[in-house]
Amino acid sequence: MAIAVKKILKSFLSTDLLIIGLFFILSLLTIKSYILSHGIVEGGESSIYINNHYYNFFSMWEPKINFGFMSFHQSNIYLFSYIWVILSIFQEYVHPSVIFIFLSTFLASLFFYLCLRKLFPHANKYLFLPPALLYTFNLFRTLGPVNERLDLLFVVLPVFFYLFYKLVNTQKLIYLFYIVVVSILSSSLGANLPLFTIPYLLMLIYIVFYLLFSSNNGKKLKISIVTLFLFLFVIIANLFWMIPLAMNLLPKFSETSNGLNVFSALASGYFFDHFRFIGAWSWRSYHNGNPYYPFYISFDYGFFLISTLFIAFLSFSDLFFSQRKLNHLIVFFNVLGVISFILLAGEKGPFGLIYNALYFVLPLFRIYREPFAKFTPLFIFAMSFNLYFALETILPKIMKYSSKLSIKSLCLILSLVVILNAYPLLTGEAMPARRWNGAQWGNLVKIPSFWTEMISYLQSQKNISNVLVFPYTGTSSSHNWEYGLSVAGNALDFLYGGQILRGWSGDISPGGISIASMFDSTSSTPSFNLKRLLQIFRVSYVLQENDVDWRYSSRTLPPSLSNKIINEYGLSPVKNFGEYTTGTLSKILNEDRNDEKYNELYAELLNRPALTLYKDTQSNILPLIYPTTNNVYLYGDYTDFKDVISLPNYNPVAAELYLEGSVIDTPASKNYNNLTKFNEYIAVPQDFQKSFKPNSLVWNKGWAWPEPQVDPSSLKYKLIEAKETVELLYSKRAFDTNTDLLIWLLAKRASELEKFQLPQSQQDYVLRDYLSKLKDVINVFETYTLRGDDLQYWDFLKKFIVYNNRDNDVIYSAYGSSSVTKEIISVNKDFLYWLEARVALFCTSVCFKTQVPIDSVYNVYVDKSTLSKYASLNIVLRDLSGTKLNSLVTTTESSTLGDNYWINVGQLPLKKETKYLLDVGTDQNTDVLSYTEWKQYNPSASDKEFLSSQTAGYIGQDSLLNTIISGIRFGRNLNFVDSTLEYKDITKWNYASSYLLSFDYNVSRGSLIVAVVEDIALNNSDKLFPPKSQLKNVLFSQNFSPDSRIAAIKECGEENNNCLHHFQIVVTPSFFASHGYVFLQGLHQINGFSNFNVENLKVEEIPTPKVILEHKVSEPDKHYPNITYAKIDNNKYNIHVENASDPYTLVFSQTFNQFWKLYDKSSSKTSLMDLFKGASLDKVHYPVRSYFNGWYLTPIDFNNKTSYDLTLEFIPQQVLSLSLVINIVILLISIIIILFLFLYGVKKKK
Amino acid sequence: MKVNTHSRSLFICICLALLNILWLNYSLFGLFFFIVWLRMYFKSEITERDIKIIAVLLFISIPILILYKLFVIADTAAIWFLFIIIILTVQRLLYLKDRKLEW
Repeated sequence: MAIAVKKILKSFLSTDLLIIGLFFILSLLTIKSYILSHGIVEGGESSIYINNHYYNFFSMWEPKINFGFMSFHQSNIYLFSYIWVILSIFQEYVHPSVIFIFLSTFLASLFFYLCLRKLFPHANKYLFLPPALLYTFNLFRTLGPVNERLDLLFVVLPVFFYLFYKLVNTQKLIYLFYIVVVSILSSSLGANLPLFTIPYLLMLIYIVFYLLFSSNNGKKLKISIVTLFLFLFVIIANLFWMIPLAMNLLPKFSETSNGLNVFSALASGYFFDHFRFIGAWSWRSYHNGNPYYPFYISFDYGFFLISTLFIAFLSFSDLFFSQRKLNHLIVFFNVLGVISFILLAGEKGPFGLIYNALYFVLPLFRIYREPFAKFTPLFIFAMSFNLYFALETILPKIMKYSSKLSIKSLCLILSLVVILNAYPLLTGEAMPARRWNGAQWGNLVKIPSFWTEMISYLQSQKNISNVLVFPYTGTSSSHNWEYGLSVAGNALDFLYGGQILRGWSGDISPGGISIASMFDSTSSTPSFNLKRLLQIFRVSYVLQENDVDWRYSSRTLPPSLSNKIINEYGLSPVKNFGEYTTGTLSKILNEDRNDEKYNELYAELLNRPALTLYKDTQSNILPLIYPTTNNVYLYGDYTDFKDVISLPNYNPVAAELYLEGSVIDTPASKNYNNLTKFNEYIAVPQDFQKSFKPNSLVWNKGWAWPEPQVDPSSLKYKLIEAKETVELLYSKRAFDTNTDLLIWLLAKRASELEKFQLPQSQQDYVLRDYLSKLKDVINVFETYTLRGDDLQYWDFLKKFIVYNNRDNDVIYSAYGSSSVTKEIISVNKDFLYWLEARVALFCTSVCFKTQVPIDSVYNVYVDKSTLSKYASLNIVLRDLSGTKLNSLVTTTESSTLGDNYWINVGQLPLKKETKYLLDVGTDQNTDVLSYTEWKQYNPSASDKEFLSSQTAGYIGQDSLLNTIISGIRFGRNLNFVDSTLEYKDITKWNYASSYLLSFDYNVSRGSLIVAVVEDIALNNSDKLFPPKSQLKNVLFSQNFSPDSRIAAIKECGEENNNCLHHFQIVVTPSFFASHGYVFLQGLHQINGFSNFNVENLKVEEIPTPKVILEHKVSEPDKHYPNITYAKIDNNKYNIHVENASDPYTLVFSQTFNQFWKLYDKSSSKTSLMDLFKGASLDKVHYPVRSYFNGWYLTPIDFNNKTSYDLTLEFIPQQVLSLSLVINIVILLISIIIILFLFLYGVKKKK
Repeated sequence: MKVNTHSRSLFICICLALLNILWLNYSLFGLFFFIVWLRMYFKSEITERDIKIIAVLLFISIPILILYKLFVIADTAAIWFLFIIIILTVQRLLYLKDRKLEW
């Protein structure tokens, strides 16, 4: 008995158990604060932990956010639908997310340890401890410890390798089925496609290594075939998520120039950092003044710098022992270390060429957009093995020197170093419960009661359709809860099961943009008919989230304003949830160093409810599926939809069609256009880029002018040319990098011509290069497809114009006689013609471009807010060359405007297929600059004190007050001089208006600074903290000096340096602006004075009208059929139609997708293949107003039956169901074969 | 073991060095190490021990260089350390190819 107990005790205290116990304790340490607080782990893009059911992973259509989308989340099925159920057993004590994080480190270290133990059964077990710890606890894991896919990868990577190693070396088929099972269980890696490929890449490298270097020539063919079968099984078993993902990614792939046009970090980090597994682009970066990884600094100095590099060197050190006994695994992991290192370094360094070649030649390789993040796990895997090999070689050598040392003690010391190197994981710094990083970024989430109450309220309501969220947010939103919540998306996505409409930058589909455009109108008076829009968008409730942080997003409105706007649109509050009191506010993390931002939280939220539900009490929302005969033809952009439906007497039960100007343009749309009769034609003229004047563009402060070092006639220049060619080739992946580089190279050619005295032939050579690049860049601009308000495009165009002007100065003056120069001049001239047609140079103030669908007389509508501002407006109709064709003068008195959003100001006859310009202006004097004398600006004593505390090189940007003082005095790299600062008031200064600042100037000495400054009145800021209610904000400031070449010359006096330049710029006040000023200051040169002259200084208000042209043909036919429908599931509806004697359009208010198929239920051809082949009523399935599904149906389609049953089905669901069955079958077969082979093996042994 | 017995690995080294020279950012530092090495090679004096010394020196230099905030130079040292790792790995691969290692 005693012996048995001793035996059990001994086995309990075995080395294995001690080591595994250590893994357990360390893993427990990583989640200790989450266990104690009973919270949820969540972070940034890993928000699925909050609610694993937030999408239905078994459905292909996801009617969840905005108007629904084709789901590609099926890869989550195994982890979040099956495995999560097991993790949820202990939900009462610990949230499953916390257990998952625990397992991600515990299982990773355990599996790696077991892998080593199985591969090297005779080695001392303590030798496995440091490598297993290094594999699990390292600096790479501190980057995103809650990243569920990466966590899963670390768990399964050793398992995959061990099984594949056994498959190759024992050739027992049981391992193939093991791998298939592991692959299915870890299929959730598929949510991050590049990470999913990593285990298979590892196997691929191993098999290639085997085929190249193994001496078992006879078995190579067999192994290759087995591996091929393995990969085939894996692909078939994973089809259930691969097909939806491919259906989703392929269109995106082509939209982004085959994947080249998306965010990538191909060269992040440093080589020396990569050795210690660091190198994310964000490692040493800051966000809102706070570091992403506050602990990064300790790894750049002292102990941790040395210790992290020491471990790296130790892992590689085995390579330096040539006399050691080698086996193939050692060499394999040496090779894997090198390959993965080269891959993770991406396109930087001497091996970058390899990565770049792969990236540009192989489209599939472009899934590795962030090589560091994707290949480092492979490198860590190799390095952990290499560490084991190194210890195996080195430790016995060390022990020779001292008898006191043992392998055990040395391994434990080393393990301590490895653990210390990953201290942020264990102390919780890598996964802090609460953390401030400009809003709350902590990982602990506790859902407040006001949210659960609000959700249960919504769930208790009957017949609820969509819920619209206010305010607009960026891609993520941060909620001011006690522990905070920062999610990609919004808390509502995760907590509410119904359909949600949100304006956010993450949805760039036509429907998403259309919803987001609702939030553009931030003027204090309602500018469109929100109630009618809610009726069309099927909104039952509007949820105002006062808890969403607004302070760090320019488009998110603060609660006070957002609530005000909702009220003004006529919605009534239904119910409030929660309330921010002094007590609750004191618990919310708020560490902003800027006083105003810090105080704003309290000023806005105190005594305000956390959530408010609003409703349009009289609303009668449209059904999900409805018939209509009201066909409206729209010319314009779908972001104008809110304006169109605000027209008086607009009938919302309509099937609108956008053709020209819309994004989705299907053959069905054209069919529809040919078949149907329209009741109404509406054109929304598109305004030009506020008609910018090329000669008013200025040299931006951030732009540089190249200073060439290499003479074009030298040999080294050839090298430079080669480098430029390669760079240009790489830059072609994106519009911005390509144009920027071309503009830079053009300027470089010009400055080479200016700087070096070149022989004639060389001059021509450089000029010809200039010409070819000039043609290239112009071609890029002319062929670019503009979408909406593409600011980047206009910014680069403006930059090109300014650089081009400067290039031309050099080229025309010095090389005017060259034949190449003449060609350059002619190319530039053509470009100017093209530019004129695009930016409408001759418009008086605002120009619209328009076209109409049919010849007719159109009603001209102008928006009420513009009409109420101006006593009269001139509307001139021109053709594209600027010739006046017709005109209207509006003389509306504001008292007659009424409640409408649009006022009919007259009629214009317009012809189809003619392009028109509508030039809208006013004769009123719009100069709003005060007539008083210039006043001297005296900063307060405290401002002066602030100034003296600043160093000239650094200007704090925290306070707007600082910016006005420091921005003007020495913010533009100028020495501080005590010259006076003078200003004039701008008498009118409103958000929602734009102002044109223009003047003529001449500077002969020193320099002149002109700035537009505004007062900012912070809403409610006096409520709690009285001192600062007025702040100054520099909207625009420019330094003019004799040689700054900023503006075009207007006229010159007798002397050349006496030229008068004209400058003008459009400025738009900030939202909170209360008052505007123009500031002027002359700056001395170091020893001297400034001499300048400013004339005709004006600030004019620019009218910002909106115009709609409308032609009504007839009232819609009232013979609608009667329709009833029943929802089977997300992907299927049964529709019953009665009295369909006339043609009509059936509208289904979900995002247009060609795979939504409508078919006659009685038809025999309803199988998947039939539907794919077009057996459905697909002929005129077109995007209603660019984003809903519409089918134009006629009695002929149903053999003149007037009553019939239809089925509406999203057919990819059938593919998903089929592939899920295949998956289950493969899984079951694999398990059966494993069991069979296992039992057979046991029997054989016996 | 003398390095010049492994002409193939030296060839790889030269290719890498040339690549490095083309990569202008790293030229000076890299060239310095390459010349030192090449000199030793022609004198037929360099042994694996020398490579080790260079590698260790390089690796020790990295933390020192970082401490003085010379990130770019530290990076060059790291790249050269990587070159040496590659050469030693290739040597092992060559052994394996010649069936000198157990599978």
